[in-house]
Amino acid sequence: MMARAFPWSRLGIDPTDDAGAIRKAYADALRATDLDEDIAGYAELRRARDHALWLAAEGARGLAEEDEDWEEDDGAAYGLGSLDDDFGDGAGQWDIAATLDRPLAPDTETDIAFAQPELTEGQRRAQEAWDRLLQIMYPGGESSDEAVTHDELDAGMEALGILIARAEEADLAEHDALDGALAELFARTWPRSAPFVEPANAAFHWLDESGSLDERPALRFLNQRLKGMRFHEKVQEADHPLHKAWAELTRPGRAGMFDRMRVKRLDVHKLLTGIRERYPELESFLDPQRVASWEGESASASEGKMRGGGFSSGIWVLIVVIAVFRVLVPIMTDEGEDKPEPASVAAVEKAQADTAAADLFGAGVDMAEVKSADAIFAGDLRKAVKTIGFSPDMVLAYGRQKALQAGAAADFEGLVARGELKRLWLAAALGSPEQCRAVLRGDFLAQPLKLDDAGRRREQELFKRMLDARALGAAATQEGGSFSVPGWVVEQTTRRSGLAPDTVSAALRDPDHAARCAMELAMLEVMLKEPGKVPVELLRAL
Amino acid sequence: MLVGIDLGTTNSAVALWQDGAPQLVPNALGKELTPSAVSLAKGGQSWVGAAALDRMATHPEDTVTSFKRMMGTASTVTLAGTTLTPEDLSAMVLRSLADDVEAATGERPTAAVITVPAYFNERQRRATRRAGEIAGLEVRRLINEPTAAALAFGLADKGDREPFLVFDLGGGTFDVSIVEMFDGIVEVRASAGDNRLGGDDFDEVLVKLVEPMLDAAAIGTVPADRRRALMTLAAERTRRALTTAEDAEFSVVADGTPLTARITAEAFEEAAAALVKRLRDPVIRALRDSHIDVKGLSDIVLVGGATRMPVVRKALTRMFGRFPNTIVHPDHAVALGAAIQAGLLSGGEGLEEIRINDVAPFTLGVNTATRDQHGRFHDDIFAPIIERNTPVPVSRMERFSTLGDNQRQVTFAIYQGEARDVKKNVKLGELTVPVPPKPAGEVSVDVRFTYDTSGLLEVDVAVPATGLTRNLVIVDEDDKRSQKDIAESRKRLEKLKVHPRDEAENVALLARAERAYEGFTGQVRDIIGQGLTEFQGALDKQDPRLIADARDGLTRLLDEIDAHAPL
Repeated sequence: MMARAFPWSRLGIDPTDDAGAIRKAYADALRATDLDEDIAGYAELRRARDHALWLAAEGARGLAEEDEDWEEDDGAAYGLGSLDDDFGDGAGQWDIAATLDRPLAPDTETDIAFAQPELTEGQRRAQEAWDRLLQIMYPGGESSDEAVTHDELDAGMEALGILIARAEEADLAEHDALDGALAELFARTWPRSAPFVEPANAAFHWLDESGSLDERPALRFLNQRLKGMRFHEKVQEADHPLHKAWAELTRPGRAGMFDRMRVKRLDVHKLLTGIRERYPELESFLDPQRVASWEGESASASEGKMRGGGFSSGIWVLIVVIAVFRVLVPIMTDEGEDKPEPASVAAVEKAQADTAAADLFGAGVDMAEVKSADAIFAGDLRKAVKTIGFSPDMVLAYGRQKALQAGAAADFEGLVARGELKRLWLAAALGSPEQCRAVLRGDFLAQPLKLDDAGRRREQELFKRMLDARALGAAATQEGGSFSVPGWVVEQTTRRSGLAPDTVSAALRDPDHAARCAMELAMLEVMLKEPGKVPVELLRAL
Repeated sequence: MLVGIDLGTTNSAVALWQDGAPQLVPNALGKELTPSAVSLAKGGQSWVGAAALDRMATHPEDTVTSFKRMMGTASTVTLAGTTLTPEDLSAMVLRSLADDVEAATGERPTAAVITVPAYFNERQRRATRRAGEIAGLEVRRLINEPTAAALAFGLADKGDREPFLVFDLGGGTFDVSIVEMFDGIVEVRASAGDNRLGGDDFDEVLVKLVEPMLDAAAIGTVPADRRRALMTLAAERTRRALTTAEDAEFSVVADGTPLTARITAEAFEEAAAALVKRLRDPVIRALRDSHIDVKGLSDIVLVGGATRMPVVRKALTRMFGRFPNTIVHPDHAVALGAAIQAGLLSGGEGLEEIRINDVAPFTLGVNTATRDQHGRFHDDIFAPIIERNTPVPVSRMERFSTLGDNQRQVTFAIYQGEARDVKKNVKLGELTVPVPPKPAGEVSVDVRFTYDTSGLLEVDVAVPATGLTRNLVIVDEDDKRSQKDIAESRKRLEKLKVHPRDEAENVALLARAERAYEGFTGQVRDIIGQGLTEFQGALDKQDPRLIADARDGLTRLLDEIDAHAPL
């Protein structure tokens, strides 16, 4: 007797076509196993059983190799061809050739639902309706991007109605096949299928599957289009939060001064990002010139800040840059429109200040809130926005500087938040020594520090904490002065940073030391774990 | 002693493995089903079961039902000044069932197997365990309701069964399981369900259907929560009536004014069409996950009172192209199955060959981060590690790598669910592991999930580069302070006054009579009033024979009134 191979070895029986024997062997082996003790053994036993059963089924059928794909071929039931998993996110290239190779008439041999040679009356009607729908979706047998005519729409809706009614009275298998086939058909013939998708969704609840791990590929595509259509409808209503931005971006021509006053830059940004990410087809409704003019403005703003110089003391940098921008701002905003009336200046400034507040502290925070939290800082911010403009990069640089400088005079709560901020920045700058040094110096203009979305959110949170702790409005102090570091801080910093103790001491003494960044970051982390234990001067100094 | 308990949304039941078979234990009223209802009065007096359900009509602000739907949430109810969590309420029902077992066998159960919907998530399951502990029961195992029903079904004749589908539509939840049996092995192939679909939702549909037909002015005089309670109770009665009739009368008494409307079975079916459609999806999911065709099912087993509804039976017959199997008692199967599981755990006679293999009902995984084509960072993508319907126990590992340069640590948040976006899934816990700072992608972290037969999830995270490992056993934050809380809850509940067992029948009758009194008008109400007074008088005299006579008389009276349609 030959040695048994897997799965027979695991089951302890000879190869057989008898499913019952296989199951019995599995049952006996299972009873002899403590499942929780031998999890891997259980998994192997099940694999052995399933494989043995499959082999037995093969043996019984007398077939050789078989396709491993167990999935029902939904499409075949309605003559659509087999379903390839070639649906990517967003608009993909549909393989229409597969459908065109097959005749438009149903291939009854491969129909699962219609396996019986005789179709019932209901099935026959449904099959005919399907053929009509197919003809409408592929006029003349070709795919088309053209919208359906009124007549085609009526005929298509009627056919769809018959199919939906059929699905409701049929059994699960037929219902499921029809569900899948319609999803496939509409996904492949988009945008021509657009008017039919909502009624189909109402019948088959396609949107319920949206966002789920096993969302079928065709549905993934269709659900996005459905949501896009719904968004398009809703955003045109006056009470939609992004309605103003939509109305603005769909207007022809470049954006003017009044337009920028009327619409929040943040909203425009949100709308554009949302559309590009989720409903790219909606961008065709927007006027390209107008979109470009809104995007162009931030581009020139970011160019502007690059011209700032680098000085060793933070505040000096800011003053120089302000001087530079006093000249630049009028140039940048002169788009050829008339100068705004004095009454509107206040409105513009308010809008800008609100945007600045939102950039610093998070969406939803406006200047009024900042003022009520810390009137002094609110005043500072307003002045700054007037002089340096409200572009996010400038505002951020200002805010960061303020946090670092003024925050040093804050009390405990503010100091801790400042420490967290610095840790955030250092962690983000760790890869680049110059970036790191810039952060340590408090220079956020020359080397603007980029944070990812999560980092930005955290930064906003921390700024808000400092704001609420009135830590931002304090007068700036000069850097420098000596401080002593307790031994336990040094020890833990050494351990945490992974640096040699000598390196740590050297880095402590020399601000330009190569490892200074890593060392400070480690020290911050140590201190922030138990900020109450750390002497205040140390918190202030770092 | 280990018992099996079906803790249902509408009704609960307890059963034992005795003399080689599962046996239901009747309650103090001689019934095998105890309504999952709790009512309190100021002063701490409490009612559980049928009496509480009747008090829903007379004291709706102090009574609560269907609290199973609140399990796993932080909501509470306040009845007669006492605030209770859904676990407390369930514990009161469990305690009452334990009392019933003690009365029937002379022994108080100390441990139980409690059933949960297969589609209950971790939070809901833990809440169920807590309820058991508050009731003084060690919860040895939680068993999925359809699996329990499959056990009861399968063990009826101990034969082999090709895959069959258990269709469990209870008061508040809907579960579908595809189960196979051979050689004493009960194997679940797939489970799916809807935690927000049950008989209660059909009641709501009926209420909405009827509301425009009733005199708005009259119904408006009733305060909101009382109105809701009355309408729901009436809806349930009407729904039951429609099971055997083409039409039925919906009647409710608002402040002494009777309001009625006639509902046809057809109108109800039309109104319930949307709910019926929802029955399809879990069935499709279970079939797909198990790779079994509708035609390959050997049987459709109906469980749960709501499967008696003609509209559901019709839908099932359409869906499956055949008539469902109604051999198993839809209200008893789950409790009997729980008793079988209890028997298995305590080495019961006749169960030596039986083994149960269940599956994980939800996908388990962690959040991962990716950068999209715009270079934006998304950290809320769900990465599955154990797919749903994987046979349990199971251990799976996935390898992840760092996304940022010089990352100091990696935090894994563990989720349960099917959505691609973790925010839509249930968060189970978190685990952080430090990693050596290296360029992005160069550090690998292995995450292993081990899910055992009792539903306990263990997470092991390992960093091959440093050899560091971290381990987390998923316990609810609540569990950490739980022991103290549970002891406190138990003490609190013990303070509530429970009617002595021998008074149970009288208490229930009083509640029933009072409910009937509220529900009728005119002469009928007067007659009931008289009967009530007589009964109360007998109780005051404390003469057992007198009480028994009065009780019989009043019961007969109420039975007769219930048998004939009101007014």
